Amino acid sequence: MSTKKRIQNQSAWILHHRPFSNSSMILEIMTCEYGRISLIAKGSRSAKSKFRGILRPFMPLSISWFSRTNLGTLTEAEIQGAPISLAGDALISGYYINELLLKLLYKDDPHYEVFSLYSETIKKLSLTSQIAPLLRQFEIKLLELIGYALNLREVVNSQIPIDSLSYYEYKPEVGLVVVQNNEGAMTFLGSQIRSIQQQNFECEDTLRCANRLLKKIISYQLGGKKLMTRKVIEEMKRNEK
Amino acid sequence: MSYSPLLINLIEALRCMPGIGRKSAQRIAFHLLERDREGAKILSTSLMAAANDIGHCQKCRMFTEVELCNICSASGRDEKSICVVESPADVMALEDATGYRGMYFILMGHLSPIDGIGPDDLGLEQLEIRFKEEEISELIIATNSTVEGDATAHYLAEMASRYDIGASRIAHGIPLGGELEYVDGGTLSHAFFGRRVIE
Repeated sequence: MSTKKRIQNQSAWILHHRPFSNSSMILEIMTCEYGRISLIAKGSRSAKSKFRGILRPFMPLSISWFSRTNLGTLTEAEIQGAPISLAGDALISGYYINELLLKLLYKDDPHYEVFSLYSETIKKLSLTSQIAPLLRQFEIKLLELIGYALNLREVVNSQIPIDSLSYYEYKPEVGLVVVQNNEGAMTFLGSQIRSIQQQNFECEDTLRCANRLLKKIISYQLGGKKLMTRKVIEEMKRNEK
Repeated sequence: MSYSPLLINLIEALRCMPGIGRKSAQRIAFHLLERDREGAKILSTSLMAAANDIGHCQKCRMFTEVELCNICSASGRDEKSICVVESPADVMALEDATGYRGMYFILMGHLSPIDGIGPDDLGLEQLEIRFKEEEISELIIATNSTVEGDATAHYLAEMASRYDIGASRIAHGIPLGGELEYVDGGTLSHAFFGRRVIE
């Protein structure tokens, strides 16, 4: 028989919530010491709930819960620090980041560094107008922290450094290989690979290349799972035209 | 002991309603059979008629069995103003509380990117057609005060600005009769930053 665990005052972010039964919610949460967990917040949608207005994504929280199975019960939640307000593109990007964590992290696997990366990125997101470089940096760092770091320093299985004027193809399961021309969706110029490696995203072209590269690598890592936020962002962009 | 097939069917069917579990379904079934067979017959015919005939208003997406709902077909309402809400219940709440006499548009939900609910699922194409074809001067965004409601509001406001339509969002803050000490931090900060000049 499993034992009952009680955890007090953990720093946490809500990644996603969905209504459950009459007045409750199921929360997908990223915590500092316990990784990604699911909790039920009983009665949290009723008018008199103490959780009202608190259980929102992008709100820095301190939470307590108990659990016997893999779905625990939230007992306390407080706002920790100033609420972060995201709007427009920053908000949609925030959802994208949340979905990445939901789909790339295993549950109940502590990821202290991912938690701090997430906290920093969300805070920066509310302050900057340069969203794309921030997202690319987040993606690169996240892949590194969960054990799928990109190798952009050298050609795979060799010590040969990247030459600015040559073309390379990135194969997700291997790394960079030299190719003769720039045909193909995963082919990049050496100078762009270098800029991406140094996370120097000042040039629009590099940013586009980084986006192309990371999109492919992430969808490879997701192994067939689709990112819904991407679909919605595409719908929004299409409608704007 | 198990009930007869018809009774089991009835109890199972009643459970499709929100908040009705096995026990409540059983109680409702017994009540209808013991004391209110007439009511049960009326219920069954109205459910059948509603499920077959009720669709959406062509203009505002309200539930109705005719082409245009009562509000859209009423005369004397301000056709230049559209108020966007998330659910049909919100229309009734606003009608009762505010005396607003413009038109509505019902999204039947809100943007929820992680669940894959985007503009297409909320009928925003239909709203855009209204922006193009009708002479709209004001868009009132009355989505819920949740993060999803905010995202929806922002998207609607951008859409309105493409057609030079002035958009506003309903205010959120301290409830009437509310004391600051007991108001949650999030609401208080919203109210504080959304403060307005006393005229």
